[in-house]
Amino acid sequence: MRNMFVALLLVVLAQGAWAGPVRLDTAVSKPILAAGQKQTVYLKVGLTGVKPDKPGSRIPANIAIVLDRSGSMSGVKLAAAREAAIDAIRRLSRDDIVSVVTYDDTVEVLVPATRLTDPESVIAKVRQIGWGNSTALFAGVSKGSEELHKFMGRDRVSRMVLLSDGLANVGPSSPSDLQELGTSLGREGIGVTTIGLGLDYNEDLMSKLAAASNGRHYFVREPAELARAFDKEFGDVMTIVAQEVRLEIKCADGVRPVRVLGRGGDVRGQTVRLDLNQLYSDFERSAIFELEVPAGEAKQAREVASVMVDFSNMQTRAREKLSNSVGVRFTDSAAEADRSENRDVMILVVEQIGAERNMMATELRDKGEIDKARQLLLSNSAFLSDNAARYKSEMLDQQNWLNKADAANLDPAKWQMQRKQMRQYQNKATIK
Amino acid sequence: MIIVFVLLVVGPLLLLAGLGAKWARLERERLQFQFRELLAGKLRDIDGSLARVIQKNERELVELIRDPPAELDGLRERHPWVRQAFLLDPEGKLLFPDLRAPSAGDMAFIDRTREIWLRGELLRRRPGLGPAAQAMQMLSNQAVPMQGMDPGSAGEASGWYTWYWGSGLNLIYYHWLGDGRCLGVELDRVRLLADLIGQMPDTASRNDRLADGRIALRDSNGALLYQWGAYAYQANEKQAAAQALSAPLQSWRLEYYAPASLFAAAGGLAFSYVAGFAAVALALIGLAVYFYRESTRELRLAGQRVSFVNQVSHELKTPLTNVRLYAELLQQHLDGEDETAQRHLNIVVEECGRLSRLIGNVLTFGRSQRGALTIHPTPGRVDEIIQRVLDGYRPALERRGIRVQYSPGKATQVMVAADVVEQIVGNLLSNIEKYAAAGGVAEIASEQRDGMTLITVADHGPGIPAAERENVFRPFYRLSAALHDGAAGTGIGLPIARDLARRHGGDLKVVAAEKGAAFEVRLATPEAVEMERG
Repeated sequence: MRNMFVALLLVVLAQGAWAGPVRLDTAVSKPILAAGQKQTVYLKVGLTGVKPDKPGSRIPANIAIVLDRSGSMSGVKLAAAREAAIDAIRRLSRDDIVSVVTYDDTVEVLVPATRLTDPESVIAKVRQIGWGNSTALFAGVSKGSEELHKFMGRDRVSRMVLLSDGLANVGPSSPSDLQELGTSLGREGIGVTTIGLGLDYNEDLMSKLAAASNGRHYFVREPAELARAFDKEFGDVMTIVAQEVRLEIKCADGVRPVRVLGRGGDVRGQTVRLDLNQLYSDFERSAIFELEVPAGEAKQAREVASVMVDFSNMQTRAREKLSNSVGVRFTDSAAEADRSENRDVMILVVEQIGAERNMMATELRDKGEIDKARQLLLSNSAFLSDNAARYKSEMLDQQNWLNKADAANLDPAKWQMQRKQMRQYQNKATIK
Repeated sequence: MIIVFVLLVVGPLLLLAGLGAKWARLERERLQFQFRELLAGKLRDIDGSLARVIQKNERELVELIRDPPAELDGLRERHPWVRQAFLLDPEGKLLFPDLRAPSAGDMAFIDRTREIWLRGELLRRRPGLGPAAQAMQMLSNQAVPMQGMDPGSAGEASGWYTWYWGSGLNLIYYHWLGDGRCLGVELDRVRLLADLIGQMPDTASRNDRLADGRIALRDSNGALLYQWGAYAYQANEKQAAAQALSAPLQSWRLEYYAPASLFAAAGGLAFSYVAGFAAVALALIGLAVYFYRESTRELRLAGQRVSFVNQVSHELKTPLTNVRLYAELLQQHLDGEDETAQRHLNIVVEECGRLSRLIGNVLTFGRSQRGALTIHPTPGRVDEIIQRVLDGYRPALERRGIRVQYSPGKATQVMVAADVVEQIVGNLLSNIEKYAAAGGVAEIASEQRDGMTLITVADHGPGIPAAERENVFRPFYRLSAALHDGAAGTGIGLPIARDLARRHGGDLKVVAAEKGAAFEVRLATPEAVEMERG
């Protein structure tokens, strides 16, 4: 009863909705708009995983570890990868499914998908991984997904962890092909985490593959840091409370959906769709939608959009839905409108715009226009810095410094590494 | 000997090698053909399993299309192979995606498929016979029955449409609805490939021997899509077998690369042929060596025997000469005194003569065998020589009841080796004494003509069968045992006589005779004119 009251209160006050393990929060950048003009409004949709009531009952995981064992991995890198994978496997429990796939110029399903009843036998196989020739990354991902498919279900969290240190050179190898595959896998509920090791991997391919499936991309410069990336990823996988999370925004008549900031979204007519894949507990994932709201009259209120999210509840294994409606009010007072500005939403908006500009700078630098790229990064840094002060955001300030650092490291000697750091930052900022 | 070796060993071996090599080549070709067939079969199996994956998904797509969600965009969430759904009106115009408000994904789809809509490619695959029929169908708006799921052929209600865009093959699965509209899906080719790869073996599955090779899947540009198997082939290596995939992926190929060792294993029987050939060859050579050693052993033994007899004869010669000399001296000394002693002494002298001829024969044979036999013609008269021989033999012949008839020719002085004539005639007479005593007569005649001397020696004994006329000249050859019962001989008399005659520019032959045996001796005896003058 009391819970219900609290929930009701949240719905009314914070425009939130709550069902099982997922909390839906919606907010607009300015709930009170100046009347008489068409203007842009940002809609934030936040989804937060809620820790299950019964502590200790974790959702079983279905994990494919896909390891690059091409010639370039020989030595320290492969040893670190083996140890990181072994540590990660040790974190799993008997109910989890694990498979290990290695690839060089061909693929080897070293450990087919199996319940982890005998971790030591799996670990023994991982220890024996030796290095080979080329890099059949696409085939490795394909085989990894096949192993995941064997135990896919609403009662399991499926995740692929892909490690590569080199350029894919056997089979489809373009970033767009891998992005397409990532999209397809993400739609099914498979998140692909990509870990780029060293300075020679294709960061576009690896970051796009991850982003398309709503997975994280890590740039790991030194083999010694691998263990941390694996550890973080496996830890997060164990807190997943919902998957196959799909967002649908239906804009009210007259309101035009423009785009989803920082990431691809499917805008068709009045409807925008976005796959978010998986939700971790105590962690908010969000998306910012740019909308164009037509001029309104003072004192008038209007609905902007209805938000619907549906997901698989990992505990009940059922498909559940949450929905919410977002509206704005118009005023004659510009000051009132400005005062209504939502700081949290604006911080996210600035972050996304900052990340987009960082991507544009990457493209300019790729074309060899170093000066233009540097100017863009510096102006981006100033933009982030101003807004960090304005909204008192430490995160934006950090990103200001990241952009400054990017601007300082565009010359050819440092570019290879800097580009990887930028891709990691872009992934982190946009796959919220 | 060499010829026998060639005939017995080399010939059969060459024949065997020739036939065997041909057989081995055929066998190897057959095995390699079978091996290739095996590989091709393996590739067909893989193609079959991939086709089953496609068919399974095709069935799922058909079910989806028959019962589509209200919003076609939702098809994408229902099947991982759907990249984009589309709906055409009966004129081939796109109803979905809505071109008035396309999403970014819709725009990309239009970009990829523009040519298909512009050319009305799918319209041509509409069920019905021609434009008239289509018009009728549109008017009546009747439901079109499904015409089967056979992909690709024109006019089917459902099927695959393939086109090339971007980096390769793209696929559309379309279905003409009963109301003349066409609902279809563009396939996510990357996902399709990933799922096909998921169904193919990986390098770890080494449960069959063919995994020692490598199988590669290539697209229409020859780009490598996937490969597995332990064998790393060379960039320009030719594949051992290839197989195009079934429709709708018919422009993709499976290729099998086999290491040489796999082919060698397939040609294993050819190696066993080589081993068999080697075994037969060894056996034949072994046999040949055995026979060769056997025959040379006999020759060696015979040679040793001859050499021994030769040496003994040589040693006997000097004492015999002395015995004979002193017997003859004694004969002169006892002339007319003691008749009994005289008779005994005659026998001693006679037997000495016989023994000395025997030794002469043996020594001549030995020299002939060593190739050291030479003759030294000196001026002389053949009749006188023959007469001397007859004188020597007459007592012994007459004792055996053999009458000697000699018809001498007109003898002139010629170049003749007296010892040769003595030996030849002596041997012939000796034969008569031994084998033809029953005939009771020995007829000897001689004549001289054109620098040749012709001597015939005939008897009235059992004679020599025509088939044996040449054999009697072979060393150690004997006519049947019955023929010379009680007679002994060395078996070298006639061969020596012929050898000597030939060395003297002539020959010795058996000639036809009415009765008994007849030998004809020819000798080259040029007239000794100068010698006479000298």
